[in-house]
Amino acid sequence: MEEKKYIKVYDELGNLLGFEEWTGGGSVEPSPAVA
Amino acid sequence: MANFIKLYDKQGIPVGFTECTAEVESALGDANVVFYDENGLPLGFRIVTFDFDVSVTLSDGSTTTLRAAYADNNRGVIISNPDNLSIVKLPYLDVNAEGYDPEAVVSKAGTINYDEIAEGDGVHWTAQFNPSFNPDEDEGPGNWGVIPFTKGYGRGSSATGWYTWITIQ
Repeated sequence: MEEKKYIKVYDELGNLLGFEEWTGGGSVEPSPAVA
Repeated sequence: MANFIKLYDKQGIPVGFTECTAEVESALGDANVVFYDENGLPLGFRIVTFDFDVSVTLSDGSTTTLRAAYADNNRGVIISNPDNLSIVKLPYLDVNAEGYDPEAVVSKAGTINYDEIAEGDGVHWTAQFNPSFNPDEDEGPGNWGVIPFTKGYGRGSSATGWYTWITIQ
C-alpha cells in the first residue's frame, strides 16, 4: 500500500497550521528538476 | 517557470516534490503552501495577506505604495521577499480576464490603484519573476522596466505573457 503523503499548510500570514493529507496526486520526485 | 510543492511523510519528513499542475492547483483548494522552484528553493507562499508596504516605481519615475494584497488562489501575481518569505500577491490588471472582479480586489486591497500602476495599455500587468530576471536580456513581449524591482522575486501564473518589474523596498 502506498504511504500517505502530506502537505504543510499555512495561514495567510505564513503561520504554520500543520499537515494535511495530500490526495491531489502528481508524481513525486526527490528533486523538482526531475518532477 | 514551473512551481512545485513539497510533500512529506507521516513523520513530517520531506519525501519529494510534485509539480504544481492545474490538477494539483485544483487539489490544493484553499490550502496555503510554499511554492518551490526547479532547484527546490522556496518561491514563497501560495496565498498571502502581506503586512508590509511595497513601493512601486512607475514608468514616469513616480512611486506608489501597494499593500494588503488580495489573496486569490488562482489569479494574480505573487511577489516575495526572500528575506522573510513574506509574499505580496497582486491581482491581475487584465480587466478582460475571465473571473476578474475588480470590486472584490479593491475592497480587499484598499490602496491598489490600477490607474497608477497601469501604463499604456498596461491593464495587462501579470508577471513571472525570478531573482536573476533581467529585463535587458530576457526575452519577452514588452513592458520591460515599466516597474523596476530591486529586492523581490515571485511567481505569477501569467495568462497574457506580459512581464514587469516590481520594487520591494
